[in-house]
Amino acid sequence: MREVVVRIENLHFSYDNEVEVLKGIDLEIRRGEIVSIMGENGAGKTTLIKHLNGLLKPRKGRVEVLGMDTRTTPVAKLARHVGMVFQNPDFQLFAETVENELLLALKNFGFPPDVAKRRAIWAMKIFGLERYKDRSPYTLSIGERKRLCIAAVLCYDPDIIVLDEPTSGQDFLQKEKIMEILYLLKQQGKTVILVTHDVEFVVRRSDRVVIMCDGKILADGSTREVLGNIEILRAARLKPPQIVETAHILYSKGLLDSQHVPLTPYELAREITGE
Amino acid sequence: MLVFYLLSSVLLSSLPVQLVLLASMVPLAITSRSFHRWLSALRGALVFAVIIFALNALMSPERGLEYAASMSLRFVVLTSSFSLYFLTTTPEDLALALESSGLPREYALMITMSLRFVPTLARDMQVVIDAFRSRGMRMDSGNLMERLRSYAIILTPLIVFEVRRSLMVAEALEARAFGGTTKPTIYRRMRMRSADYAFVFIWLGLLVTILVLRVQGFVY
Repeated sequence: MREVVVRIENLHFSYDNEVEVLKGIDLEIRRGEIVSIMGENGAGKTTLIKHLNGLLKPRKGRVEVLGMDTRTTPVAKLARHVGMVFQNPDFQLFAETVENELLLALKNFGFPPDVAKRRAIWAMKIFGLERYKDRSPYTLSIGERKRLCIAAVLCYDPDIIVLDEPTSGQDFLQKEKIMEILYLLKQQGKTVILVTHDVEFVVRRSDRVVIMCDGKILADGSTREVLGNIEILRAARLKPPQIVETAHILYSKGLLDSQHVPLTPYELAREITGE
Repeated sequence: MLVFYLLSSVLLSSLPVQLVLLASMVPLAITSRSFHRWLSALRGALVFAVIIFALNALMSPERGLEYAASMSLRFVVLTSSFSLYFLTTTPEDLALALESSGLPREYALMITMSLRFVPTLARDMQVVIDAFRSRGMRMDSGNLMERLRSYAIILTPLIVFEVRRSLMVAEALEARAFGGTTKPTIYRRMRMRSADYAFVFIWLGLLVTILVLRVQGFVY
């Protein structure tokens, strides 16, 4: 089994000492997994991921990332290994040109100038942004700005990448592009943690799903186990993927045997036609 | 009330006076149930108060430590009186008061909007700082120049977004027919009641008393 890269033990957290936002989270994430953290608004998802690079420190319990205890490791050091992309790109673009935006973190982490330049160019190519090299980030469209934020984090090659709502506000084409990027990351052996509402997206790209509700983990398992389980989704107030819903309707009418829960249209079609 | 504190604090410079002014705010803070928040605003001002004290003590040693103390206390009195005012007046009441007293809507709106957006801006700033730190950049290291540079970097996305937001707010206001030619119907109007007149007279009276005493040379 691959090594554990994130170990969270009995994590409790509250912002203001009154209301507890995280009520005892236990989670282990292994290298190379693509984990989606889902749950309705207010469940504590964003609060949880902010512990992964030390922006927030636990009130009780501990968070260990790649062997480093987040309570005693500075954010700057954790950030080298945990790249975090927040939801709104407009709050994360700091430089005058697209190229400088990518170079910002690279220079900060001490990459030599020639290596930094090469990495920046590589990142721009992958995300289709090289023609904007010398333009201001604010002249890009919203989808491109989002991709730029992800590029700015990927270019310095962290082991773990955390994306907060990467698909919110994106049209279909942009979502496809992001899915390609996730596939690329998986091939590179990166560990990816997503916070998302987008059930259809998770079904296609995620290995593992963790559902949070009211500061606790409600479910933690493979995508098929969790998103195929209508009871759990109902308890977490999440809408099931359309294919799963369709399959359940067919089960209830006795038209389908509920052994295998299909997650994609192809799987459903195969179940119906019987391979 | 605010005018009283501002003017008395500025026109009188002795240490006991400033102490009395500060102390007199305590019962006001307590009766308006804002004591703890007022106290934390005071704590915020403490840093600057110490700086002012130090600067005065170093730059004008001939005026003595007492002068330095009263200058720094004057700063505290000024900021805490503002803080007391804003803790006891909601932006809605302030807007209503300004409009009811005849200030044109645009100006009243400017004032209340600035107040209304302070917590929003603070939250946005925290988001930007989180993103900044997540890229491995530090806010707390390096010499003064480096720290100023990090603040400048943080301001860029913040200002761009807030300017965009102000345009969005303007559109929203227009969509609600703000600035149209029809005179808006006023739902609630604030009127001066006898309690309000009494309040104004008391503070005005206190101010005049202080000024007279000053002129006569009894306090300074």
